[in-house]
Amino acid sequence: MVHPARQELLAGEHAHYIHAFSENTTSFEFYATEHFRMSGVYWGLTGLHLLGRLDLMDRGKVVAWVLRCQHEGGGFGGSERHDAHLLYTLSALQILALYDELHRVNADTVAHYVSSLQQPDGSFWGDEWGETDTRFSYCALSVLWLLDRLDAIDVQQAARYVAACKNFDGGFGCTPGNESHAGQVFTCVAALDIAGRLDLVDADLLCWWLCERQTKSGGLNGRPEKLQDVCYSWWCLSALSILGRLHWIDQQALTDFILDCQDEDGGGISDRPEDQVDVYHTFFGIAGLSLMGRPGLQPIDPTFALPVEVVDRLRQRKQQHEGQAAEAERRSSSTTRELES
Amino acid sequence: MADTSQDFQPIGERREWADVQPRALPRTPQPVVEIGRDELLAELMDYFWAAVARQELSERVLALTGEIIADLNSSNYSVWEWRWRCVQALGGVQARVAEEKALTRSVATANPKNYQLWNHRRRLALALGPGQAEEELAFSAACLEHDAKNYHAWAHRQAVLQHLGEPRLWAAELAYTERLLRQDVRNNSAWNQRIFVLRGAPAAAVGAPREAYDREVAFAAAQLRLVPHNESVWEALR
Repeated sequence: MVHPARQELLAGEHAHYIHAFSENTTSFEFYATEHFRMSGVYWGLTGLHLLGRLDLMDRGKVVAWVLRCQHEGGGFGGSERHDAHLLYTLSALQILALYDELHRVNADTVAHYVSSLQQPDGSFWGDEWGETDTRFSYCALSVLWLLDRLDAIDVQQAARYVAACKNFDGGFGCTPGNESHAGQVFTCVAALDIAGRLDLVDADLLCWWLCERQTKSGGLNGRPEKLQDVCYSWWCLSALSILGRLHWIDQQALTDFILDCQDEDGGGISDRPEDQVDVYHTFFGIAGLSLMGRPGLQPIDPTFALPVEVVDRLRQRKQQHEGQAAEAERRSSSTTRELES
Repeated sequence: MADTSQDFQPIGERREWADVQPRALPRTPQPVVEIGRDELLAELMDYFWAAVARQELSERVLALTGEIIADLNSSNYSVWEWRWRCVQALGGVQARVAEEKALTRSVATANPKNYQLWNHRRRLALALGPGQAEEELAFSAACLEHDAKNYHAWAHRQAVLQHLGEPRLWAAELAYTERLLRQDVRNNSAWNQRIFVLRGAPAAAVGAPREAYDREVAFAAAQLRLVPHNESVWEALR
């Protein structure tokens, strides 16, 4: 049963929780989380956008800070002092996409950074130090899609590596052979979607595995026999959504679980009911509810983990560019024909 | 966490760092006069970044990275990377192995689900070579004693076997998973590991494919009698 004070989505409380968290720059937590702040800001801002309260944040300040985190090589660090990494390069571009400021970065430099991290087997290093993980494959593909520069890498080889991480249960792990994990399932399915290779997914097998993540509590876990956690509301649901099988889980039971993870006193959402809240779980809980179509929330795109309106805007621009490029090609070839005749 | 009562000396007062100007983030002035623990630990980062700006790879920087990792933040990827560079500059992995083993062991005790820790340990292991394989399997097994499903620990075993493993270690891995499954037949990680071994092991370790397959089916069927509804077993059988 959902706690009486949590039966509605406490949208206002969550918006203020996220905002207050971002303002607290002197706490121990501020320093302990510095290295992944870029992702924290992305979670917070996207959460606010879904709640319709992006206005609470200082757009100019955020964008300026994001740009200060870019390195000469094109990648972004977790914060101003931190080294470039694919994870934070994606978060940075996602933030810029939210504010429609992607034009502030040099797409070529970023594309070069990403392509420098691709390995011969198609995998991606997270940074120059060589950690390999399918999360980084997703980051690479998503970054380049946002910049319309997928041509910078070998997309087919990237897809082949992701497919090599597919397991007997249809799920995906970090590297070939690693156990299937819902987080990796999201990154791999979304990566294959961007690469146009969803044919490499055993959709029925995987979605069966995904809906088996739903526990008696209504919440989802990340692997068989593990505890439910609100963040899996995103990792599992997004993959199910991409594969067109969101109806395979009990959405009411999951909704009740997410709502029960709210903190009615200070706002925010935690991993499990009654636990400490944080921005990560707040975002993913809201994102999960949005995917299930909860009224009052902006819709979110399951592949790019960005509001649908942001993704649509980018798609329209791509189509315009393609149209313009095709038109220019047509004109130049007809001019050539005229010259030759 | 650092004991900031008696033993902890603020880094700004340490003689060995007297020549360095810390690189701080702009901070809102604190209204409270007394400096809290947070400030003292945050200062460690300011000195770290000063060292990076100078491209300094030295004993004092190595020590500082260890202090940050142990007391402030064991997930800071920049700190771990700089530490690796210090190790290379100060004699290399072979020369500094004891300290690195000790640090990774203590972080694993406090924070076993940490990507950077396992990345560092894997790099160490691969640099040390095949002779290191058994110790790495023991290290990850110790973590699995506390949490038999620790994703990183299992991934570490896979990397060690793939890069450093001889046939007898591959064969021993099947026996290891059996032991864990006897403790908890529902351990999905252990089931996954069996598939990993059967697919990747040299033939000398697991025998001819047909025999290995038959043995595995018999094993899985025996487990199924214990837990007929367990999804891991059914998937493994498939």
